[in-house]
Amino acid sequence: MTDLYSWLERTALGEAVRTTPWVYSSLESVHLIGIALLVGPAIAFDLRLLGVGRHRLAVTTAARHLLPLARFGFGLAAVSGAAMFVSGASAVAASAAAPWKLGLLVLAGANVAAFHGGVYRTVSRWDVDAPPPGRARLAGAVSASSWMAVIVAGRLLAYT
Amino acid sequence: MRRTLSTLVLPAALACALTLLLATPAAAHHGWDEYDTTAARYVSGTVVDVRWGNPHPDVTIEVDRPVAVPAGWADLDIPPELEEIGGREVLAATRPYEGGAAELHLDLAPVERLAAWGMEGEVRAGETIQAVGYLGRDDDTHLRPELIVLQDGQVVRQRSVPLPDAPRAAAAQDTATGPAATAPAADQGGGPPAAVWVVIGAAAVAGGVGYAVRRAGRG
Repeated sequence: MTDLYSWLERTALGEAVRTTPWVYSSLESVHLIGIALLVGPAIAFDLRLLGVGRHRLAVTTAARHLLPLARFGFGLAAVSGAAMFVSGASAVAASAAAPWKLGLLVLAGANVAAFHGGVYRTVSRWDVDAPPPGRARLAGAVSASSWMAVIVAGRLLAYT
Repeated sequence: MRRTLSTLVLPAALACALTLLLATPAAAHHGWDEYDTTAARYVSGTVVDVRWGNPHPDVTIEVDRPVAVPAGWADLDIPPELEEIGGREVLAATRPYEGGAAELHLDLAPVERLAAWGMEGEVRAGETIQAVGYLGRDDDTHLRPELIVLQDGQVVRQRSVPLPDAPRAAAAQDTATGPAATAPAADQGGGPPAAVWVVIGAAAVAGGVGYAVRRAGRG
């Protein structure tokens, strides 16, 4: 694994990200914008799943408005994050927070898959003016907490 | 609504618990607080390995022995901007590196800052380099330089902000080796202060979410 990480760092992409002035800091900015567009809308949708605003806002309307934005934000964060990881793979992988961040990302992704493949199929029954079912509330709580925890773990990559 | 509120506290509590869990073994290279700035250490050596680039170039040197601060070091020609934030005092308080490591890692400033501070190109293996800086509190094989002197004699500053705790001269430090020297270390990186911030942060998040939920619940 160590060989893989140092090979990643020596790739043209890794070298360019690390040594070209302003590239690394620009990627950090893109990563932050991506996180804002992902986690903000995701938590707004999670709150609706928890029942907030259920008398005024249909779950499907919230989903159509917020989830494309969250997917776009995830794309930005994933691409910029991958580029920064490649440029410093050994140091990132050596951090105690790295397995946490990866594990929490997997948890957040599994939650998305379980929600859309599961309880969201019955959304017509609890779209407006109805308390969301327990599984939808659970999905919202897991989503909000796991995305926030991903941010915490990501920030700690530089400190652990 | 009550049930919803209690559900919302869960994310904040989880994030809080996770932060506590992860914050304990923090051993970082960020901020001057992570380094023992009470002792400015001089070291010179030959560059044996370079990992150039952001966020910090990592220059590994083989330490020259014996270590001695060169004559006239306190009068070294340094940039006025560094002088304004205490660079001259650091030079006056500089003492030799006394650790036993054969190799030290110099944690340099980000490459944009190095360029802005007049450094052209990179440090390369085989070159000689001098540095005065501060050893990591948790990892004393890392030295974060105050400034470096390149092989061609160019002085490159490495610090842009005042130090949290100014270096003391060797004599003053030696008399205060006991509590004075250990107290700052105990303050840094300890559990309680971090926990306080985490609890305040989590309470703020929970409070904000609770407020949003109550507002949304009306009308």
